[in-house]
Amino acid sequence: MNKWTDEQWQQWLETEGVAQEAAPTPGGASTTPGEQEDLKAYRFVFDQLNQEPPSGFSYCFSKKVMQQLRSRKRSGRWLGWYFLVVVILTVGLGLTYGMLGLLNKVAASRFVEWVNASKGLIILALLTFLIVQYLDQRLIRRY
Amino acid sequence: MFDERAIVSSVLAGDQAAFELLVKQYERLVFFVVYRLVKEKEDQEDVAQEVFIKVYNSLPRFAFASKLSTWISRIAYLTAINHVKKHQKEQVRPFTGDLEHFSFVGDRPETVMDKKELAAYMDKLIAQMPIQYRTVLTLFHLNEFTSREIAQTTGMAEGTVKSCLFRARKLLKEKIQGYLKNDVL
Repeated sequence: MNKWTDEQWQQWLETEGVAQEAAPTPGGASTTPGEQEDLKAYRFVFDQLNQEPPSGFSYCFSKKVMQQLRSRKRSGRWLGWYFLVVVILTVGLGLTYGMLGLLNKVAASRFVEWVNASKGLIILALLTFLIVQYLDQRLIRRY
Repeated sequence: MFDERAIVSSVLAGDQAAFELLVKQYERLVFFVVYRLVKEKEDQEDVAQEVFIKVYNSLPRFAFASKLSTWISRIAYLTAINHVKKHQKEQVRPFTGDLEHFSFVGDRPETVMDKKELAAYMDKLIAQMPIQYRTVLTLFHLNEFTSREIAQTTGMAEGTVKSCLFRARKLLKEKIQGYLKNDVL
């Protein structure tokens, strides 16, 4: 019957390391053939688990991260600008209506009719602009 | 010597070069976590970049309650797990069954000629293990984390970490033991 349990082998290899020259057996103790097999297998397992993967990230990984960071900051700023464009457009339409209302009520109501008739077109143009800008930023972020 | 506190302060003060230094310092740590969890090689670097962007954005909230490496590895772990959930359709819920009865696909090659082939077989076995076993093995053996640090990183109980580590290594030992009898090594 084996004297050494799996738990003991693992604990011993965790503290002693896997280098064979370090200590062939715990405290130089004699081991049975079954124990020798266990130890050999555990040494191999520990050795392989401690092996670093063959390849890491690309050589300029940190540069790529910095590039990503800068492009995300830029896209965050652009998002603010897009929002501002929408606000300016809305306020602009409101102001135009207000001014026209003061100067010429007929022109003001015509303006409202025009906006009403073309609202679909205005919204479509605005959405297209925002979607194109959004996709553009997504592509920049990806590549 | 790398001074965590000084680097973090510099990054928070807006020093981009300091953050680049931080990335260089911890890219291996992040690589090891991502390498074992994200199987697609082309996705590994994207996930790691995402990890460092999150690190940068969350750095103002880092209060040195743990080591910076533990905190970064937790971000790496969670980001990789999210990626796996989204893209690999892999089961990421904790595996509660008995690992000894876990079925590996393409199990046991007929013959193993040398140490290199046996190492490749062991790599395949690890890649198929449930995600929490892979994580624990990686953090312990490659990142050289303690069980406590692994518990902090993954959110598992320390006892669960130790048990995962023990069972995974025992299973690997049993799987390769047969080949070692043929004097592969």
